[in-house]
Amino acid sequence: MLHISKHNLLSLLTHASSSWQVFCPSKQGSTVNFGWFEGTVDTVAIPVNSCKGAFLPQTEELFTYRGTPETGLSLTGGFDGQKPVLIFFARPCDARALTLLDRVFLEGEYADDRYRSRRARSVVVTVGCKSPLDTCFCTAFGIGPDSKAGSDVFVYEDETSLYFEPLTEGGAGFVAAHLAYLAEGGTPVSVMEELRRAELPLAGRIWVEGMAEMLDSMFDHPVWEKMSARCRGCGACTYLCPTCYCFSVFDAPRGTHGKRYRSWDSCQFSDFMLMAGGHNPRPTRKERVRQRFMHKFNYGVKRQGDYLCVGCGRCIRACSVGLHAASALFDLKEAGR
Amino acid sequence: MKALLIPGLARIESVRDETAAGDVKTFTVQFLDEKDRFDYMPGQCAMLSVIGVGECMISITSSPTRDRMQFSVKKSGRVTSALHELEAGHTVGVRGPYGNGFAVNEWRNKRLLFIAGGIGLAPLRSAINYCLDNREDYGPIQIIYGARSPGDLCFKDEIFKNWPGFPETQVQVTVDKGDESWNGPQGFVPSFLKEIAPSPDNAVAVTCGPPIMIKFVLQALSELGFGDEQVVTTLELKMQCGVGKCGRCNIGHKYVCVDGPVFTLSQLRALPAEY
Amino acid sequence: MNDLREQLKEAVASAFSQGRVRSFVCLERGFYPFATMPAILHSGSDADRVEIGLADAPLLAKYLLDMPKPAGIVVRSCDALGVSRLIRDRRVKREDLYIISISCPGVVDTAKIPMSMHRITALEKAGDALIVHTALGPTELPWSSVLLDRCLACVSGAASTDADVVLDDGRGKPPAPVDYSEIDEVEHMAPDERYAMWEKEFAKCIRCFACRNACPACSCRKCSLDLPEPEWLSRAVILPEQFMFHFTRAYHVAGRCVGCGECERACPVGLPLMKLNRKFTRDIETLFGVDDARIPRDVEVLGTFLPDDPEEFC
Repeated sequence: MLHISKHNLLSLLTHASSSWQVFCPSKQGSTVNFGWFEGTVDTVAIPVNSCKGAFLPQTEELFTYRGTPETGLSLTGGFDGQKPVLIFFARPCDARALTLLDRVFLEGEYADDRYRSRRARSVVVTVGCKSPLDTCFCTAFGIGPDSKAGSDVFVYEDETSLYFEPLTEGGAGFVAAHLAYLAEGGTPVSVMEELRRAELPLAGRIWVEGMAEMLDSMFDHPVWEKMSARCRGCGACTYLCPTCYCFSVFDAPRGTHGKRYRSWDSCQFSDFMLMAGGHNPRPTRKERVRQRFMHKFNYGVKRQGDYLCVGCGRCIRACSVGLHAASALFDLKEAGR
Repeated sequence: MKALLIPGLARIESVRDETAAGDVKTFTVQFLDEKDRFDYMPGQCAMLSVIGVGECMISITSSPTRDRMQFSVKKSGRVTSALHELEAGHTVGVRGPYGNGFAVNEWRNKRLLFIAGGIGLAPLRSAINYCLDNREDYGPIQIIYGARSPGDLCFKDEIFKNWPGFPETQVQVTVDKGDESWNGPQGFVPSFLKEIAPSPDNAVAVTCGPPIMIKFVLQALSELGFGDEQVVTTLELKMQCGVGKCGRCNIGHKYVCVDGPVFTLSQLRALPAEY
Repeated sequence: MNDLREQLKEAVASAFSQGRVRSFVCLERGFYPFATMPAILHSGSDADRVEIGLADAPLLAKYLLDMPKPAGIVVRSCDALGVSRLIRDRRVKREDLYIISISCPGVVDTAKIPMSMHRITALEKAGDALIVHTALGPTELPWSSVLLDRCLACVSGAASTDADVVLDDGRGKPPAPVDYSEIDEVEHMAPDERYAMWEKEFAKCIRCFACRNACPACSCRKCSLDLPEPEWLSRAVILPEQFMFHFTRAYHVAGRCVGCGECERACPVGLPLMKLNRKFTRDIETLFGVDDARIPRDVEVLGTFLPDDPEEFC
């Protein structure tokens, strides 16, 4: 297998960034976050945010306009010719989450042109998870520390080196473009073995078998009231979730010109569904919390064919009051017995 | 590939006040660039933009059998208020068509009952004119329409002059409260409907209006013997994208923007009552 | 500690049985057995769920806003300041509250337990140490090394006296000496360097509003930053708007921040928000001669004009 010494990783990424937009984890203040490569990379920590922002940026300009409705208007909003995206060091859960977002944005009658153009030429390099955190429960969703779904290149990491296993044509292309940095040699058998054996402490507590069907009859269950009582109504869980994708579209006028943007939005915000006349179909936190988990564990299964959760645990780390996918799955299971 | 969220620009050709209070206006629009023009079916919607203010989902009130696209808009929020400030010659953005529309092909040879309140006639008008323009394909058409006051009735030319002139077409209009100019029926639409008591035999009932009206119309239809499959309504929820991506307008696992806005009552009964 | 918990359970149960409260906010065991989470109780029979909160204990004051009154609350001193804030901001009435104050030795921040010790099965306080139990056995960490940042600036670990029931086991953390050295560090930066630092921090902000929603001084019924019109804050998450958001919030809570640090604890991306808030707190202390500006008082420094204020009011 081709491998690179960890010391040389930065040179590889620097080289890669001439033909790719590299999205990777790096230390930002007190946390490690996914973001565009700016000369540093952190290969150890699991970033607080997910890599969805590389394909669905938190805020993106849809077009710039000049003029006014009264005097006439012109719209300019080219979206083209950007370098392909390289996700460097997704985790198996992140890579799998991208395949779920693909179902939302690429399938059906309306494909999202922006998402598609970013995603089409992207390469996802995933590293095996040797040290899952206390918050990891990907195995509940059939993912594991060595799962390869959604990845173009899989990386095995030992103490000194990273071993690259290309999985797709795109992945092979990426590896071929960086042969100068890679040396031939060996198979990281012990790492592979370690990944197979890696245990997730939450695995025994989280159960999703039959969850979607069970939720069919739990829309009016009192458990939602109990679960949502502690919710603070912020959007941390949804924004850091690798499979949450809700957005809003809005204008930012500056006199006779301006922009239309789309930006992430959160079903946990009170005005998410507030209509012009003042009607709000989800007026309290109970309805909003229910929406979030029903979307993940019931509506998603009906619409996208799978749970919209990959057990990455980011919501567990994000929530200041302990209301997250794992606690929800646990509470719902208890309630639905 | 067509950009999903970018509207085409359209010129407002005319603006017509529908109501005495000026809170409903009908905009006739024409795309500036032919490539932005799109075909649509009755009951479908489009995202209408006042560029610089925002977008909102509006049902297309014109029938595809007519040559100009029209939107009837009630002033209620930021975007619709801004739209009401615009005049003929001004520019708006339009993208679409969105939503399922009415199953007008399945209605062939049936008796059609349209029940609308206030601005709720706007989406039905598209279907009514479509069916009238293909008159021989459909059975008798009965239109029951109401508004708060005579001044709040929309499309007056059509309800009083144009539509009643078609064969086997009946228009019955009520107002909640009349005035000195009004000598027609008074009372709410649901009780008016019960008085008229149309037969459910081989019929489809299509209703749109304020939520409270819809609620009681659905009850009345059920009392009159209409089965859930025979009853059709349209829903409105906040929307941002119109294409089933932004995650906003769902009722259960259905999205109003792509799976609706038209639902049969039996479809609605299978969904959580969260709208 | 257990004694305190037993006393607390009893006090909560009797608040219900005496008809003093219709609801009670406290902590209960969380999804992770070593952490706690807020619980809103509606009956005395739930009092068994009450926990003191050794680790990751959220502050509770703000839950009072939406609770049926009269409402009970268990507070440590930092939370007591938040309750006091809400009372002085006229968002809750003291007579609608039933306050049980407890002493607090500090609260463990599990994020400060080294990664190598994950797979925590239990946490235990033993004297000046935290014992972390893992599958591999117990490890001892110095107590002060694992406390939440807010505990490092604790007003006092003793139970607050403005309470209906005071439960103090005498093991409260002594008041922390006032230490503004991190504010000095920021102030001594060159303007460009300081700007670059905030730029880097705010670039991480995802505008999830966790800080605002956790803050006991941010209790407006409708936040002006949420209003579509006038739109003070664009929904575009771009750098200038991030500065707008964080500075607006910092200015809005200036003079009212109780220093509880719940904003910083709630922030999922680790923004050092207390650097902004503490800068204001210190300025108020030095400019207006106020002693510990975190403590809410009836006459607010920035809500009052005096002829000898350091700046003209304009």
